[in-house]
Amino acid sequence: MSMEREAPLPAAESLREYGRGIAGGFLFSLPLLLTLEMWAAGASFSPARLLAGLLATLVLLCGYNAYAGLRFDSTFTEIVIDSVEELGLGLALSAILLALLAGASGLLTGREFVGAVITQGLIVAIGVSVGTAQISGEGAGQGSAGRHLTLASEVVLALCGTVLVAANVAPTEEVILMAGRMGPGRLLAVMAISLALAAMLLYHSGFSGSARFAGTRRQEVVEGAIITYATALAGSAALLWYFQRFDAGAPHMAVAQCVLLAFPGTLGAAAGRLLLR
Amino acid sequence: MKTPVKNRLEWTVFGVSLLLIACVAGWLVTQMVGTDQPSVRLEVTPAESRRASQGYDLAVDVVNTGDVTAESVRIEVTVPSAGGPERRDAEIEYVPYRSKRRVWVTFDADPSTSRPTARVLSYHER
Repeated sequence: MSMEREAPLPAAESLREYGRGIAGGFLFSLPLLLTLEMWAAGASFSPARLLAGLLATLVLLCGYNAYAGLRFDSTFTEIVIDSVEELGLGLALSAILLALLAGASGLLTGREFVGAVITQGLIVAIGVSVGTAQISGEGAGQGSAGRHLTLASEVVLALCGTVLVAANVAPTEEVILMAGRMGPGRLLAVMAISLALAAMLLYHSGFSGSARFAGTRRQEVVEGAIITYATALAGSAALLWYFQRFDAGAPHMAVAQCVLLAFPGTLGAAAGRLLLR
Repeated sequence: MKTPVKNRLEWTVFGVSLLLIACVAGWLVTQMVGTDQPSVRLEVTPAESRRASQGYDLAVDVVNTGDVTAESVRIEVTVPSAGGPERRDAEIEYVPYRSKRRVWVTFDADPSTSRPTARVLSYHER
Protein backbone atom coordinates (compact mmCIF):
# COMPACT_ATOMS: atom_id res chain seq x y z
CA MET A 1 0.00 0.00 0.00
CA SER A 2 2.96 2.30 -0.24
CA MET A 3 3.29 4.77 -3.07
CA GLU A 4 6.12 6.20 -5.12
CA ARG A 5 9.13 7.06 -2.96
CA GLU A 6 12.86 7.51 -3.23
CA ALA A 7 13.72 5.07 -0.39
CA PRO A 8 11.78 2.20 1.21
CA LEU A 9 9.66 3.03 4.24
CA PRO A 10 10.83 1.66 7.60
CA ALA A 11 9.00 -1.60 8.40
CA ALA A 12 7.32 0.06 11.39
CA GLU A 13 5.75 2.71 9.13
CA SER A 14 4.59 0.01 6.71
CA LEU A 15 2.97 -1.82 9.61
CA ARG A 16 1.17 1.39 10.58
CA GLU A 17 -0.14 1.71 7.00
CA TYR A 18 -1.38 -1.87 7.05
CA GLY A 19 -2.94 -1.22 10.46
CA ARG A 20 -4.86 1.72 9.02
CA GLY A 21 -5.98 -0.43 6.12
CA ILE A 22 -7.13 -3.25 8.41
CA ALA A 23 -8.99 -0.76 10.63
CA GLY A 24 -10.69 0.70 7.56
CA GLY A 25 -11.51 -2.76 6.23
CA PHE A 26 -13.34 -3.70 9.42
CA LEU A 27 -14.86 -0.25 9.89
CA PHE A 28 -16.57 -0.27 6.51
CA SER A 29 -17.42 -3.95 6.26
CA LEU A 30 -18.06 -5.36 9.75
CA PRO A 31 -21.87 -4.98 9.49
CA LEU A 32 -21.75 -7.05 6.30
CA LEU A 33 -19.41 -9.64 7.77
CA LEU A 34 -21.96 -10.24 10.51
CA THR A 35 -24.97 -10.48 8.18
CA LEU A 36 -26.33 -13.98 7.58
CA GLU A 37 -27.76 -13.00 4.17
CA MET A 38 -24.22 -12.23 3.03
CA TRP A 39 -23.01 -15.63 4.21
CA ALA A 40 -25.88 -17.33 2.39
CA ALA A 41 -25.29 -15.30 -0.76
CA GLY A 42 -21.59 -16.08 -0.89
CA ALA A 43 -22.19 -19.74 -0.18
CA SER A 44 -24.62 -20.14 -3.06
CA PHE A 45 -23.02 -17.99 -5.78
CA SER A 46 -21.74 -19.73 -8.90
CA PRO A 47 -17.96 -19.70 -9.54
CA ALA A 48 -18.50 -17.44 -12.58
CA ARG A 49 -20.32 -14.84 -10.46
CA LEU A 50 -17.64 -14.95 -7.76
CA LEU A 51 -14.91 -14.57 -10.39
CA ALA A 52 -16.75 -11.61 -11.94
CA GLY A 53 -16.98 -9.99 -8.51
CA LEU A 54 -13.26 -10.59 -7.89
CA LEU A 55 -12.25 -8.98 -11.20
CA ALA A 56 -14.71 -6.06 -10.86
CA THR A 57 -13.37 -5.32 -7.37
CA LEU A 58 -9.78 -5.36 -8.60
CA VAL A 59 -10.72 -2.86 -11.34
CA LEU A 60 -12.57 -0.66 -8.84
CA LEU A 61 -9.59 -0.74 -6.46
CA CYS A 62 -7.26 0.27 -9.30
CA GLY A 63 -9.61 3.16 -10.12
CA TYR A 64 -9.75 4.25 -6.51
CA ASN A 65 -5.99 4.05 -6.07
CA ALA A 66 -5.47 5.97 -9.31
CA TYR A 67 -7.72 8.82 -8.25
CA ALA A 68 -7.73 8.81 -4.45
CA GLY A 69 -4.76 6.77 -3.25
CA LEU A 70 -2.18 8.09 -0.82
CA ARG A 71 -0.41 10.04 -3.59
CA PHE A 72 -1.53 11.44 -6.90
CA ASP A 73 1.69 10.64 -8.77
CA SER A 74 1.60 6.82 -8.54
CA THR A 75 2.63 4.89 -11.61
CA PHE A 76 0.39 2.25 -13.18
CA THR A 77 2.57 -0.54 -11.71
CA GLU A 78 2.28 0.95 -8.22
CA ILE A 79 -1.49 1.27 -8.56
CA VAL A 80 -1.81 -2.40 -9.57
CA ILE A 81 0.53 -3.55 -6.78
CA ASP A 82 -1.41 -1.56 -4.17
CA SER A 83 -4.71 -2.92 -5.46
CA VAL A 84 -3.45 -6.52 -5.34
CA GLU A 85 -2.23 -5.99 -1.77
CA GLU A 86 -5.58 -4.55 -0.71
CA LEU A 87 -7.56 -7.34 -2.35
CA GLY A 88 -5.28 -9.95 -0.76
CA LEU A 89 -5.64 -8.32 2.65
CA GLY A 90 -9.42 -8.14 2.23
CA LEU A 91 -9.63 -11.86 1.41
CA ALA A 92 -7.29 -12.79 4.28
CA LEU A 93 -9.17 -10.68 6.83
CA SER A 94 -12.49 -12.06 5.64
CA ALA A 95 -11.16 -15.64 5.92
CA ILE A 96 -9.82 -15.11 9.44
CA LEU A 97 -13.00 -13.49 10.74
CA LEU A 98 -15.36 -15.95 9.07
CA ALA A 99 -13.25 -18.88 10.32
CA LEU A 100 -13.71 -17.52 13.83
CA LEU A 101 -17.40 -16.73 13.51
CA ALA A 102 -18.90 -19.13 10.99
CA GLY A 103 -16.34 -21.89 10.50
CA ALA A 104 -15.96 -22.63 14.19
CA SER A 105 -19.73 -22.69 14.71
CA GLY A 106 -20.20 -25.07 11.78
CA LEU A 107 -22.50 -22.64 9.92
CA LEU A 108 -20.26 -22.61 6.85
CA THR A 109 -18.19 -25.54 5.69
CA GLY A 110 -15.98 -26.40 2.73
CA ARG A 111 -16.98 -24.78 -0.54
CA GLU A 112 -19.65 -22.61 1.11
CA PHE A 113 -16.98 -21.13 3.35
CA VAL A 114 -14.77 -20.23 0.39
CA GLY A 115 -17.70 -18.58 -1.41
CA ALA A 116 -18.60 -16.52 1.64
CA VAL A 117 -14.95 -15.52 2.16
CA ILE A 118 -14.70 -14.25 -1.42
CA THR A 119 -17.97 -12.30 -1.32
CA GLN A 120 -17.19 -10.67 2.02
CA GLY A 121 -13.51 -10.20 1.18
CA LEU A 122 -14.38 -7.95 -1.76
CA ILE A 123 -16.15 -5.44 0.48
CA VAL A 124 -13.38 -5.68 3.10
CA ALA A 125 -10.82 -4.95 0.36
CA ILE A 126 -12.58 -1.71 -0.61
CA GLY A 127 -12.66 -0.80 3.08
CA VAL A 128 -8.92 -1.55 3.34
CA SER A 129 -8.24 0.70 0.35
CA VAL A 130 -10.35 3.57 1.64
CA GLY A 131 -9.01 3.11 5.17
CA THR A 132 -5.39 3.26 4.00
CA ALA A 133 -5.88 6.49 2.10
CA GLN A 134 -8.48 8.21 4.27
CA ILE A 135 -7.63 7.26 7.85
CA SER A 136 -4.29 8.82 7.15
CA GLY A 137 -1.49 9.24 9.59
CA GLU A 138 0.77 12.25 9.86
CA GLY A 139 1.76 13.37 6.41
CA ALA A 140 -0.09 10.63 4.62
CA GLY A 141 -2.84 12.92 3.39
CA GLN A 142 -0.34 15.16 1.62
CA GLY A 143 -0.75 13.01 -1.45
CA SER A 144 -3.98 14.69 -2.47
CA ALA A 145 -2.13 17.95 -3.04
CA GLY A 146 -1.76 18.52 -6.76
CA ARG A 147 -4.41 15.97 -7.67
CA HIS A 148 -6.63 17.09 -10.54
CA LEU A 149 -10.19 15.87 -10.25
CA THR A 150 -11.76 14.92 -13.56
CA LEU A 151 -15.17 13.53 -14.47
CA ALA A 152 -13.69 10.02 -14.51
CA SER A 153 -12.18 10.44 -11.05
CA GLU A 154 -15.44 11.85 -9.66
CA VAL A 155 -17.37 8.89 -11.06
CA VAL A 156 -14.90 6.36 -9.61
CA LEU A 157 -15.04 8.00 -6.17
CA ALA A 158 -18.84 8.11 -6.33
CA LEU A 159 -18.88 4.43 -7.33
CA CYS A 160 -16.66 3.49 -4.37
CA GLY A 161 -18.98 5.39 -2.03
CA THR A 162 -22.02 3.71 -3.57
CA VAL A 163 -20.57 0.23 -3.13
CA LEU A 164 -19.52 0.86 0.48
CA VAL A 165 -22.98 2.09 1.50
CA ALA A 166 -25.35 0.17 -0.79
CA ALA A 167 -23.62 -3.20 -0.29
CA ASN A 168 -24.98 -3.17 3.25
CA VAL A 169 -28.55 -3.14 1.90
CA ALA A 170 -28.32 -5.00 -1.44
CA PRO A 171 -28.35 -8.60 -0.12
CA THR A 172 -31.31 -8.05 2.23
CA GLU A 173 -34.85 -9.25 1.53
CA GLU A 174 -36.25 -5.84 2.42
CA VAL A 175 -35.30 -4.38 -0.97
CA ILE A 176 -37.35 -7.02 -2.82
CA LEU A 177 -40.23 -6.70 -0.36
CA MET A 178 -40.46 -2.92 -0.75
CA ALA A 179 -39.87 -2.99 -4.51
CA GLY A 180 -42.82 -5.33 -4.96
CA ARG A 181 -45.16 -2.98 -3.14
CA MET A 182 -44.18 0.38 -4.61
CA GLY A 183 -45.93 1.82 -7.63
CA PRO A 184 -44.42 4.15 -10.26
CA GLY A 185 -45.56 7.29 -8.38
CA ARG A 186 -43.73 6.40 -5.20
CA LEU A 187 -40.64 5.30 -7.11
CA LEU A 188 -40.55 8.63 -8.94
CA ALA A 189 -40.79 10.34 -5.56
CA VAL A 190 -37.82 8.28 -4.30
CA MET A 191 -35.86 9.30 -7.40
CA ALA A 192 -36.69 12.98 -6.83
CA ILE A 193 -35.65 12.78 -3.17
CA SER A 194 -32.39 11.01 -4.11
CA LEU A 195 -31.55 13.71 -6.67
CA ALA A 196 -32.36 16.47 -4.19
CA LEU A 197 -30.23 14.72 -1.57
CA ALA A 198 -27.29 14.56 -3.98
CA ALA A 199 -27.61 18.27 -4.79
CA MET A 200 -27.97 19.20 -1.13
CA LEU A 201 -25.01 17.11 0.05
CA LEU A 202 -22.68 18.29 -2.71
CA TYR A 203 -23.59 21.96 -2.97
CA HIS A 204 -25.37 23.11 0.19
CA SER A 205 -24.22 20.90 3.06
CA GLY A 206 -21.03 22.64 4.05
CA PHE A 207 -19.50 19.21 4.70
CA SER A 208 -15.77 18.71 4.58
CA GLY A 209 -14.76 18.69 0.92
CA SER A 210 -17.84 20.55 -0.32
CA ALA A 211 -16.01 23.89 -0.60
CA ARG A 212 -14.89 23.08 -4.16
CA PHE A 213 -18.57 22.70 -5.15
CA ALA A 214 -19.64 26.00 -3.54
CA GLY A 215 -20.72 28.97 -5.67
CA THR A 216 -21.42 26.85 -8.73
CA ARG A 217 -24.12 27.79 -11.23
CA ARG A 218 -27.56 26.18 -11.14
CA GLN A 219 -26.80 24.21 -14.30
CA GLU A 220 -23.69 22.72 -12.68
CA VAL A 221 -25.68 21.79 -9.58
CA VAL A 222 -28.19 19.92 -11.74
CA GLU A 223 -25.41 18.23 -13.74
CA GLY A 224 -23.52 17.25 -10.59
CA ALA A 225 -26.61 15.80 -8.94
CA ILE A 226 -27.53 13.86 -12.08
CA ILE A 227 -24.00 12.44 -12.47
CA THR A 228 -23.94 11.42 -8.79
CA TYR A 229 -27.38 9.83 -8.97
CA ALA A 230 -26.66 8.07 -12.27
CA THR A 231 -23.48 6.59 -10.74
CA ALA A 232 -25.46 5.46 -7.70
CA LEU A 233 -28.06 3.84 -9.99
CA ALA A 234 -25.39 2.04 -12.03
CA GLY A 235 -23.54 0.89 -8.89
CA SER A 236 -26.80 -0.30 -7.34
CA ALA A 237 -27.71 -2.23 -10.50
CA ALA A 238 -24.29 -3.94 -10.46
CA LEU A 239 -24.68 -4.88 -6.79
CA LEU A 240 -28.20 -6.19 -7.34
CA TRP A 241 -27.00 -8.28 -10.29
CA TYR A 242 -24.16 -9.65 -8.16
CA PHE A 243 -26.59 -10.60 -5.39
CA GLN A 244 -28.91 -12.28 -7.94
CA ARG A 245 -31.77 -9.87 -7.39
CA PHE A 246 -32.67 -9.70 -11.09
CA ASP A 247 -33.22 -13.42 -11.47
CA ALA A 248 -37.00 -13.13 -11.15
CA GLY A 249 -36.95 -11.55 -14.62
CA ALA A 250 -39.72 -8.97 -14.07
CA PRO A 251 -38.54 -5.60 -15.49
CA HIS A 252 -40.64 -3.58 -13.03
CA MET A 253 -39.04 -5.37 -10.07
CA ALA A 254 -35.54 -4.81 -11.45
CA VAL A 255 -36.13 -1.08 -11.97
CA ALA A 256 -37.88 -0.67 -8.62
CA GLN A 257 -35.02 -2.37 -6.77
CA CYS A 258 -32.45 -0.17 -8.55
CA VAL A 259 -34.35 2.99 -7.61
CA LEU A 260 -34.73 1.88 -3.99
CA LEU A 261 -31.11 0.81 -3.58
CA ALA A 262 -29.90 3.97 -5.31
CA PHE A 263 -31.41 5.98 -2.45
CA PRO A 264 -28.77 4.89 0.11
CA GLY A 265 -26.38 4.55 -2.83
CA THR A 266 -26.75 8.28 -3.58
CA LEU A 267 -25.72 9.08 -0.01
CA GLY A 268 -22.63 6.95 -0.52
CA ALA A 269 -21.92 8.43 -3.95
CA ALA A 270 -22.16 12.02 -2.73
CA ALA A 271 -20.10 11.22 0.37
CA GLY A 272 -17.56 9.51 -1.89
CA ARG A 273 -17.19 12.62 -4.05
CA LEU A 274 -16.87 14.82 -0.97
CA LEU A 275 -14.77 12.76 1.37
CA LEU A 276 -12.79 10.17 -0.59
CA ARG A 277 -9.92 12.28 -1.85
CA MET B 1 9.46 0.35 -16.33
CA LYS B 2 10.55 1.75 -12.98
CA THR B 3 10.54 -0.78 -10.11
CA PRO B 4 8.52 0.49 -7.14
CA VAL B 5 10.58 1.16 -4.00
CA LYS B 6 9.36 -1.15 -1.26
CA ASN B 7 10.79 -2.73 1.87
CA ARG B 8 10.91 -6.48 2.45
CA LEU B 9 7.69 -6.52 4.44
CA GLU B 10 5.77 -4.77 1.68
CA TRP B 11 7.10 -7.10 -1.01
CA THR B 12 6.16 -10.08 1.20
CA VAL B 13 2.61 -8.79 1.67
CA PHE B 14 2.34 -8.19 -2.07
CA GLY B 15 3.68 -11.67 -2.88
CA VAL B 16 1.33 -13.41 -0.45
CA SER B 17 -1.61 -11.33 -1.72
CA LEU B 18 -0.82 -12.17 -5.34
CA LEU B 19 -0.56 -15.86 -4.46
CA LEU B 20 -3.85 -15.77 -2.56
CA ILE B 21 -5.71 -14.06 -5.42
CA ALA B 22 -4.18 -16.44 -7.97
CA CYS B 23 -5.25 -19.45 -5.87
CA VAL B 24 -8.79 -18.12 -5.45
CA ALA B 25 -9.15 -17.23 -9.15
CA GLY B 26 -7.62 -20.58 -10.16
CA TRP B 27 -9.97 -22.48 -7.88
CA LEU B 28 -12.97 -20.64 -9.31
CA VAL B 29 -11.88 -21.38 -12.88
CA THR B 30 -11.48 -25.10 -12.10
CA GLN B 31 -14.97 -25.07 -10.57
CA MET B 32 -16.34 -23.55 -13.78
CA VAL B 33 -14.69 -26.09 -16.09
CA GLY B 34 -16.90 -29.03 -17.03
CA THR B 35 -20.14 -27.33 -16.10
CA ASP B 36 -21.98 -27.50 -19.42
CA GLN B 37 -25.58 -27.58 -18.23
CA PRO B 38 -25.71 -26.39 -14.64
CA SER B 39 -28.54 -27.96 -12.67
CA VAL B 40 -29.58 -29.00 -9.17
CA ARG B 41 -28.90 -32.66 -8.32
CA LEU B 42 -30.28 -33.61 -4.92
CA GLU B 43 -29.68 -36.88 -3.10
CA VAL B 44 -31.60 -37.55 0.11
CA THR B 45 -30.34 -40.19 2.52
CA PRO B 46 -31.67 -41.13 5.97
CA ALA B 47 -28.77 -41.34 8.43
CA GLU B 48 -28.56 -42.08 12.14
CA SER B 49 -31.43 -41.81 14.60
CA ARG B 50 -31.56 -41.07 18.30
CA ARG B 51 -34.03 -41.26 21.14
CA ALA B 52 -35.80 -37.94 21.79
CA SER B 53 -37.94 -36.74 24.69
CA GLN B 54 -41.01 -37.61 22.62
CA GLY B 55 -40.34 -40.39 20.12
CA TYR B 56 -37.24 -40.56 17.92
CA ASP B 57 -35.24 -38.09 15.84
CA LEU B 58 -34.01 -39.26 12.45
CA ALA B 59 -31.21 -37.39 10.66
CA VAL B 60 -31.67 -36.94 6.92
CA ASP B 61 -28.77 -35.77 4.76
CA VAL B 62 -29.59 -33.74 1.67
CA VAL B 63 -26.66 -33.49 -0.71
CA ASN B 64 -26.65 -31.23 -3.77
CA THR B 65 -24.08 -32.63 -6.19
CA GLY B 66 -25.19 -30.24 -8.94
CA ASP B 67 -23.82 -26.83 -9.88
CA VAL B 68 -26.84 -24.72 -8.95
CA THR B 69 -28.12 -23.90 -5.47
CA ALA B 70 -31.52 -25.33 -4.51
CA GLU B 71 -33.87 -23.19 -2.43
CA SER B 72 -36.94 -24.15 -0.38
CA VAL B 73 -36.16 -27.85 -0.66
CA ARG B 74 -39.12 -29.92 0.58
CA ILE B 75 -38.53 -33.56 1.40
CA GLU B 76 -40.73 -36.43 2.54
CA VAL B 77 -39.39 -39.02 4.98
CA THR B 78 -41.18 -42.30 5.65
CA VAL B 79 -40.57 -44.76 8.48
CA PRO B 80 -42.37 -48.13 8.19
CA SER B 81 -44.02 -49.26 11.43
CA ALA B 82 -46.46 -51.92 12.62
CA GLY B 83 -49.38 -49.49 12.65
CA GLY B 84 -48.68 -48.26 9.09
CA PRO B 85 -45.97 -46.05 7.62
CA GLU B 86 -45.26 -42.74 9.33
CA ARG B 87 -44.70 -39.86 6.90
CA ARG B 88 -43.16 -36.48 7.70
CA ASP B 89 -42.40 -33.44 5.54
CA ALA B 90 -39.44 -31.16 6.14
CA GLU B 91 -38.22 -28.00 4.39
CA ILE B 92 -34.65 -26.76 4.08
CA GLU B 93 -34.18 -23.08 3.25
CA TYR B 94 -31.37 -23.65 0.77
CA VAL B 95 -28.82 -26.27 -0.20
CA PRO B 96 -25.86 -24.62 -1.97
CA TYR B 97 -24.35 -26.42 -4.96
CA ARG B 98 -21.86 -29.19 -4.08
CA SER B 99 -22.88 -28.92 -0.44
CA LYS B 100 -24.67 -30.92 2.21
CA ARG B 101 -27.39 -30.04 4.69
CA ARG B 102 -28.72 -32.19 7.53
CA VAL B 103 -32.26 -31.99 8.86
CA TRP B 104 -33.70 -33.83 11.89
CA VAL B 105 -37.22 -35.29 11.59
CA THR B 106 -39.24 -36.59 14.55
CA PHE B 107 -41.11 -39.93 14.51
CA ASP B 108 -43.12 -41.96 17.02
CA ALA B 109 -41.68 -45.27 15.76
CA ASP B 110 -38.01 -46.15 16.16
CA PRO B 111 -36.35 -45.63 12.72
CA SER B 112 -33.42 -47.87 13.66
CA THR B 113 -35.65 -50.98 13.67
CA SER B 114 -36.84 -50.45 10.07
CA ARG B 115 -35.61 -49.05 6.75
CA PRO B 116 -36.59 -45.37 6.50
CA THR B 117 -36.89 -43.84 3.03
CA ALA B 118 -36.71 -40.22 1.90
CA ARG B 119 -37.42 -38.33 -1.34
CA VAL B 120 -37.45 -34.79 -2.63
CA LEU B 121 -40.90 -33.27 -3.13
CA SER B 122 -39.98 -29.87 -4.60
CA TYR B 123 -37.35 -27.13 -4.76
CA HIS B 124 -36.54 -23.84 -6.44
CA GLU B 125 -33.42 -23.30 -8.54
CA ARG B 126 -31.53 -20.23 -7.46
